[in-house]
Amino acid sequence: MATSPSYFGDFSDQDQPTLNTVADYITEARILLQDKVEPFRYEDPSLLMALNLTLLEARRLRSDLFVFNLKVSGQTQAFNAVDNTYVDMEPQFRLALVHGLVGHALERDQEDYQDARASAFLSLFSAGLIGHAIGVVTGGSPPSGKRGDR
Amino acid sequence: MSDEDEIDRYWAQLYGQAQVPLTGASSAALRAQLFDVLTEFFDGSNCWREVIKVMVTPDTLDYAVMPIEGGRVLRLLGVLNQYNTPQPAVMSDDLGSVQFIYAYSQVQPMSVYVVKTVTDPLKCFPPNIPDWLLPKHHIVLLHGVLGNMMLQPGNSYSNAQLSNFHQTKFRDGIAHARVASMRANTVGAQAWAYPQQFRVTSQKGGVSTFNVHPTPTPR
Repeated sequence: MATSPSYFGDFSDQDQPTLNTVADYITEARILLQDKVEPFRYEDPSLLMALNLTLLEARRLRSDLFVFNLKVSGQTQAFNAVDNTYVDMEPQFRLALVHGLVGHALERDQEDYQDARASAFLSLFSAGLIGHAIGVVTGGSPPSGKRGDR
Repeated sequence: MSDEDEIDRYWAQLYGQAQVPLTGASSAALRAQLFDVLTEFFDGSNCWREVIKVMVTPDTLDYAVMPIEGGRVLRLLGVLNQYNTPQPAVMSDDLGSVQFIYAYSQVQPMSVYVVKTVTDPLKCFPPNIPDWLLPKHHIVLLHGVLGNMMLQPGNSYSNAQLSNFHQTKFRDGIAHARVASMRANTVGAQAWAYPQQFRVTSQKGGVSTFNVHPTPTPR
């Protein structure tokens, strides 16, 4: 049977190739967003901001992923370009970051049906970090009925 | 199998066993908790010891003590002279030197027994601990890590009830380690005579009479 080289970590997160760099995160997010063909619906700067905000939210929810990282004095990374800069995150939480990134990108959409998708991805994000989901994203349509009925 | 391989396997056992029930725990948090658990374990058990030799000279009371087998000095266990007789001494606040109560008139070797603990949090993993620790106490340390991790609120692995169980087992393990160390790892023997000064002296009226001249008189 043919075999191919596979990754075996040497206890170094940086050696884990899956979702290793900023570009990896943005590429994976575009797959989930179905936005792989230019011109992009979600431009790089907006997804970059979504990644940075997701990291800040992860810092709020799971400070242990950041405060013990003395290489950056326990601070949260932020990125300015979609390149091969390493995103210093333990491998088991990387998928949660992608979900958070996609959820944040979908949040800004005007279409109501995207609210459900945003909620789903943000729930996956929080579930990946703290084990349970947050509340759903709602809004977009005005409340129905007359003002006096509300 | 070399000793290093064996220790690595014990680390893998401890680290792996800790991660299995702690779904969603980060490696960073586990390592930080492990350091705290080791600190608490050594502090409570006094089981990591080292004998540091010093040469006492006349008219000098203070002597620097620096462990050479790793770790950081936590407290002074006692001082024996060359005839294995306990000598009165205290330790400085920075835990870097031992101070004798009385000056000696002749040069003589002394053995300073110190209790040690781990150093360098967040710096190296695995932490610098003696090789005998994991084969002997890895289950106790596992209970400590699980108990501390499960006590953290708001996480997927939070479980106050299980934390209580693990903390109890951890405390029990510390007590066992303390007794085993005190009895020099013997079964059914009386507490090891050295260098516990209270074993070879008495207390009268709550006042220690250990090797103090003149003996204090209880009021």
